[in-house]
Amino acid sequence: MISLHHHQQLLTRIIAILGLILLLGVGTVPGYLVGHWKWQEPPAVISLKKLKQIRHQGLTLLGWRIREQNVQEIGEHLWSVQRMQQQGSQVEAMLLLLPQNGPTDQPEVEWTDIDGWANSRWQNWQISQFRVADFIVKQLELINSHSPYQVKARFFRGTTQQNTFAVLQWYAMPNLGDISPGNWFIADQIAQWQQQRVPWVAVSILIPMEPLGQVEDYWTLARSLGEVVQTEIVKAGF
Amino acid sequence: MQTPQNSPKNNFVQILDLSILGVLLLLYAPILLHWVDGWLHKNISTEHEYFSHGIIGLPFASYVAWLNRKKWHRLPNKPHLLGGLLLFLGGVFYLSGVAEWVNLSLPTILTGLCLWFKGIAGFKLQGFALLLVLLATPTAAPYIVAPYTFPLQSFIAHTVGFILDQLGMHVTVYGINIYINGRIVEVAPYCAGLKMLFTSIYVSLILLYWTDTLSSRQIKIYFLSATIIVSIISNIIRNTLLSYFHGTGQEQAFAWLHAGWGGDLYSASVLLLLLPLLNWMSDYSRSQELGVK
Repeated sequence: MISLHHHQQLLTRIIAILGLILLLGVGTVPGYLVGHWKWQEPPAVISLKKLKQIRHQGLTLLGWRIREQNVQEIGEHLWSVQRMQQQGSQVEAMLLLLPQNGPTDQPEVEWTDIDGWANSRWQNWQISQFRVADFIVKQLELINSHSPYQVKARFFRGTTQQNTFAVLQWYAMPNLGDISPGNWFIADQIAQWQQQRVPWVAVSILIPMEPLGQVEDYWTLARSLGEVVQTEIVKAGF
Repeated sequence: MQTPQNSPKNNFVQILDLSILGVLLLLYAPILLHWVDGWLHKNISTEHEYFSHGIIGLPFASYVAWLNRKKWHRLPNKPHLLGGLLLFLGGVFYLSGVAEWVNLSLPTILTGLCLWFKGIAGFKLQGFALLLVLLATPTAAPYIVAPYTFPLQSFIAHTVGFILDQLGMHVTVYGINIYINGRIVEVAPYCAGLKMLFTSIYVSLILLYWTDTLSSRQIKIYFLSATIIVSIISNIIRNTLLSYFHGTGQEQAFAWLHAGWGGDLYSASVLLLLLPLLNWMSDYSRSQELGVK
């Protein structure tokens, strides 16, 4: 009994130590030799340069003419704010974009920043008729394009003392659009295991609408603009 | 069943145990140094700072494990398969090179070793030390939680607005923003005291262990609830002061209490408050018990 007990005690320890030494050899020793480990910083975001360009110059959209574009501080971040008009019509819209600005930047529910910005710009910003809306985007132009994918967005009516807007908001990612930072986090973690990253752009579209009207009347317009914006961000930014 | 203490076989087991500790140290020294560096210099991320209580917690966890060493040796060597599974999983996490998972590999491997050597009994014996390690392991948990703290942020903003209003200042609150004399103070998740809450709970766990009341379920629950309430109230006071300083243009005082050592001093004072609170609670419950008997 004693020797069997001892035998087992030795065996479990030897298995453990061999495993740990193997881990040390593969995972740690190379780092000790060069003084740097992979976990010290996340993999690079390859498209950062393109994303910075979007922040500075805004986003050109097929069928829309940019009337005005500038960079504004909203919350603690720099957003591209552009006012644009649909070609051949009187329809106007505002497009606010916050592209990722560094490898450790992460979406942080910037919608509350937009609320604060709208409130100080127009006073008494109120949200109503809120729903989570989704639309399908087909990225036909891209060679490595996946099948059509769904974008999940916040859709609501925002009213102020002076205007009323139909508002559409989401985080644009490659082949994905979502409102929750948590879903970006999961996608980015999965990508990091493959030495890749998931870049993101926070999008807010504000379409002026009739005072105190039904926001659903503007869904078709909001959806088609949303599709164009998502498509262009993927083309120009990622 | 006892084998003679100085048999060569026993010596060999001891050498193996020491080498396991040594290899663990080599595996995690760079990671632990990285954590501590980030906690001291606040240069990794906001999320990382949420776990700065690990500076006290990790040494305390080692101390607790060390105190348990005699009981540990007396436990029968009954490997549990789950231990092997956790060791394998921890190894995969470690090799992923993704910070989040490399960090998590530490509690995974430590738990795995406990189960692998001493089974469930070993895991139970070192459970508290393992909990301290897990709660001090930097993860994205605060980031995941932050979107859901909006009600708390809003509650704090409105309470601060109410207090300042009572003091005769002109204040408007919108969502989590406090507008005061044309300036805005935003109650971010971090400012809402999420970190303070984490730290308070962690410190009260240590205090409960230290004062040996962890076994009394009643005191445990009361004290942890009291900790949460104290932490929220102290945060309302801190945010009121911050808004007051910012709104009246006292930028130096604002910076001191916001990011300077004033903030740390304030947190430390609140944590020190927990000690007499626990003392009072233990005394009170003891006197109640005596009264009943």
